Amino acid sequence: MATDAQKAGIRKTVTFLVIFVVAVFAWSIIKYLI
Amino acid sequence: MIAKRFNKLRTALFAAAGAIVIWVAPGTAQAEWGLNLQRPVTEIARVQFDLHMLIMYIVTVIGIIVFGVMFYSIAKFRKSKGAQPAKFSHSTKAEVLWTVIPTLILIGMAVPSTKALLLMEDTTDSDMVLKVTGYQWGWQYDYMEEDVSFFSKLATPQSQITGTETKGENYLLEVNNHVVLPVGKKVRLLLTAKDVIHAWWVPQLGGKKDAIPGFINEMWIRADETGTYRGQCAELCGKDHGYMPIVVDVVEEAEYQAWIESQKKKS
Amino acid sequence: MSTAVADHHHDEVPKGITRWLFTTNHKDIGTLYLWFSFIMFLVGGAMALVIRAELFQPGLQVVDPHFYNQMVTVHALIMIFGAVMPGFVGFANWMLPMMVGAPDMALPRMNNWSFWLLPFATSLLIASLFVPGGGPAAGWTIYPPLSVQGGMGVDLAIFTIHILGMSSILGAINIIATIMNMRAPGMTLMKMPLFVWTWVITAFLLIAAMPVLAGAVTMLLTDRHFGTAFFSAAGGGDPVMFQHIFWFFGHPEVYILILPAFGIISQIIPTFARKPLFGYSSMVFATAGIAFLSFIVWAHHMYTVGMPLSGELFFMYSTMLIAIPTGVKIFNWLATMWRGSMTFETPMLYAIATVALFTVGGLTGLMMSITPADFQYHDTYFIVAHFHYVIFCGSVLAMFGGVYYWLPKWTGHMYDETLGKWHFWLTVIAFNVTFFPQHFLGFAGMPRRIPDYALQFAEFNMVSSIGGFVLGFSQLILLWVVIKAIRGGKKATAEVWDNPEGLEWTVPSPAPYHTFATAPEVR
Repeated sequence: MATDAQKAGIRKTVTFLVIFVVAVFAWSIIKYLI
Repeated sequence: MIAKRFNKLRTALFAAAGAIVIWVAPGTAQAEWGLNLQRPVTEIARVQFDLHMLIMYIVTVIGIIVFGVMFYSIAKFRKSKGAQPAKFSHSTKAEVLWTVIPTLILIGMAVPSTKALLLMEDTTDSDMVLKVTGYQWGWQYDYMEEDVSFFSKLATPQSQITGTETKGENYLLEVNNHVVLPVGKKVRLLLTAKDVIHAWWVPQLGGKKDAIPGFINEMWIRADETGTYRGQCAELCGKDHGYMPIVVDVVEEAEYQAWIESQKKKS
Repeated sequence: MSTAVADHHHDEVPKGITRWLFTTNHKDIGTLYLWFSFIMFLVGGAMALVIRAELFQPGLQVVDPHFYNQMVTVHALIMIFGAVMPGFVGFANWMLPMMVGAPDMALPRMNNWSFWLLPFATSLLIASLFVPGGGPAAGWTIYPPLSVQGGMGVDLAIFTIHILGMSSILGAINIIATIMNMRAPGMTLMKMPLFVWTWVITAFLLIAAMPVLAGAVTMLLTDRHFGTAFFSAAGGGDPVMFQHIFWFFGHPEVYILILPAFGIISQIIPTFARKPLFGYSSMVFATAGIAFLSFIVWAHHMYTVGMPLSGELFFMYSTMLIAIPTGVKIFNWLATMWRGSMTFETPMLYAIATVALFTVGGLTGLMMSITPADFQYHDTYFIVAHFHYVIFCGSVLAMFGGVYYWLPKWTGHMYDETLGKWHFWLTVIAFNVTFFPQHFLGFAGMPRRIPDYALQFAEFNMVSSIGGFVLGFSQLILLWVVIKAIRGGKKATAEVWDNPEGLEWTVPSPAPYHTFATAPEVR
C-alpha cells in the first residue's frame, strides 16, 4: 500500500537499522574477547 | 443541604484519618510493625540512617505538593462544577522554575551523599581483619591474624520451618557459630565466595557488599555498642538463599580476647 | 495498486482461523498482541499469587524453595516480556498508523511474524517449568555463576529471550520505518501525537538495547555449554561483567517499559481535561532526554558489587539527573489538568492514578539513587515495592486507561462505565494494600527473593498477600468489560469522547478494516 517513494525510504531505514542491530550485538561480545 | 452534609462527612473523615495517623505514628518505634530502618550502632549505619531520613523528608514534601496540586485540581476544575477550560498550553516561566528548583534540590542532596560515600569507602587504619566467604548455604569466617576459623550455618530446626514445631523468637535469624567482634575497633571485612555470588548484610552495622567468587571485596565496620546483631544473605544464591543468616556478637575487648583463646583451643 | 483492486479489498474482511494466522492488517495484529498480553498478564499473575500464598505466613507451606525461585523468576520474565512489552506493541500496531494517517505499518508481513514469534517463545518458557531441574530460578536477572548452575530450564529461558528479543527488534524497525516514511503530508514531526513520539523513541531504545541482552545471554549459553569462561573467575573471566552488560540493556529496558505509557497518558488527560497538552515540545525533549540518560545510569543496579568510588559517584549523579526530565513530564500533566474542565470517566481515572502512583515509585527511585542509602535498600523489599509502583502503576495502569479509552474505537461500542469504575477502584486500592507495606518490609530488613522470613516481617506480609489476591481476581472484571463491549453496548460515535484530538477520532467506530488508504489532509 506504500507509494514507491515511501518504499525507497522504508528500504533505507530498514537497512540502516538492521546493520545497527547486528553491530551492537557483535560489539557486545567482541569487546570482551579482545 | 446535601452538599453541606457531604462537607461535614468529608471533614469528619479527614479528622478521623488524622487521628488514626497520630495514634499510629508513635507505634513506628515498634519492631513488629517496623516502619523504619533498624537502629544503627555504627557511625556508618548512623550516617546512612540520617541520609535516609533526609531524603525521605524531601521526597515526602515533593509528594505532598504533587498530590496536593492534583487533588485540588480534581476538586476545583471539574466540568460538573461548571469550570470552563482555559486555553493555555505554554508557560516558559513555569517550565524554567520547575526545572531549576528540582536541580537545586538534587544538588542539595548530592552533597551529604558524596560525603557519606567517601566515609564508607575509607578502609585504611583498621584494627583487625575478618575474611568472610559465602557458600551455598552458609558463611565461612576466618580471623586471619588470629588463625581462628569456623563455618556458620542456620540453626533453626527444620521442624519449625515446616510448622510441626512453634517458631522461636529468632526464627531464621540464628546460627550455630556467631561472629564475635570487639566493640569500638575498626574491623576490615574481606568478602568473597566459593560458588556463586552472595552478599553479607547486617542492617544495624551499616551497609552490605557482594561476596563474589574469585574476587575480594572490602568493607569496614566499627560497632559503638555491645550487643547481638542479626542479618541475612542479600543476593539470590540458590534454593536456600533465605536460610543463611548472619549473627554478630559485639563484646568488650576482654571478652573478645577470651573468646579468641577458646576458639584457638578448639582447633 | 489500481483503485478498483483497492476498493475490492475494502469489502473483504477474511474469516476463520486463517484470518488470524496470516493477517497482515495492523488492527488484527494489534488485537492479537493485546489478547496475548492479557493472557500472559493472567499467567504471570497466577505465579505472583503462588508467591504471595507462600509468603502469607512465615514457614514453608505451599511450595519448596527451588520451585519458589522458579516462580519468582518466571513471573518477572512473563510480566516484562510477555505482558507489558507485547501490550504496548499491541497499542502501537492499532494506533500508530491511524494516528499518522497511514494505511498500515511499513512492513505488514514482518509485522505478522513479529507477533507469531511470541506464543512460540513463551511456550518454551512455560515448558521450562516442566523439564528436569525445573525452570530458571536465578531471578529474571539470571546472574552467573548461579545461572550457570541451573539445568536445561535455563537454556530454554535463554532461547525464549533470544526469540522475544528478535520479535521486539523487528517490531521496533517496523515502527521507525513507518513513522519516518509514511506520515500523511502535513504531519511534521512536531505535529505528531505524543504517543507516536514516545513510541518512536522507545523503538530506538529497543534497537540499541535488545542486541546487548542477546549478547549477554549468548555468552551465558557458551559459558554453560561450550567451554567459555566469560563470567567465571576460575577461567579468567568476571561474573560482574555479566551484570554490567545485563544492566546496560536493563536500564534502557525499564524506560522501554514506561515511555509508551507516558504517551498514552499524554493522549488521555488532554481529552478529559478538555485542554491541550501543556508544553508539547518540552514533553518531546524530556522523553528524548530520558532515553539518552538511560544509557549512562546502569550501574545503580549494582552499587554493592564492589565498584570503585569514582564509579559509584558517577552513577549516583547521573541517576539523580534523570529525575529532572521525569519531573518535567509530571508537572506538565498536572499543568494540563490545571484550569481544565475535567470529567472522570474510567480512562481519566486510570490516567490520574498512573500519574499519582508512578510519582510514588519515582520518588522511592530517587531515594535509591543515593548510593550510601541504597546500601541498606539494595536487594530488599524496598526495591520490590519501588519497581511494582513504577511498572504496575506506570505501565499497566496506563494500558488499562488506554484500553478503556480506545475500546469504543476498536469495538464500536461504549464499554460498561460502572464495571470499569469497579475494576479501577478494586485494582488501585488492592494494589496499594499489596505493595505499600513492602516499603516498610524493606526498611525493616527483609531481603528479596526469599520464600520464608523472620517473625518481625509477618504482619505486613499477611496484609500484602491479602491485597495480592484481591488485585489478581479483580482483573477478571476487565475481561468481562472487554468481552461485553465486543458483543454489544451503546453504539460509539466516531469521536467517542468530547472533542478529542487525533486522526483516529475522524474515522468511524469501529474503525474500518482499512483506514487512510488515501492520506488525510493535516493542517
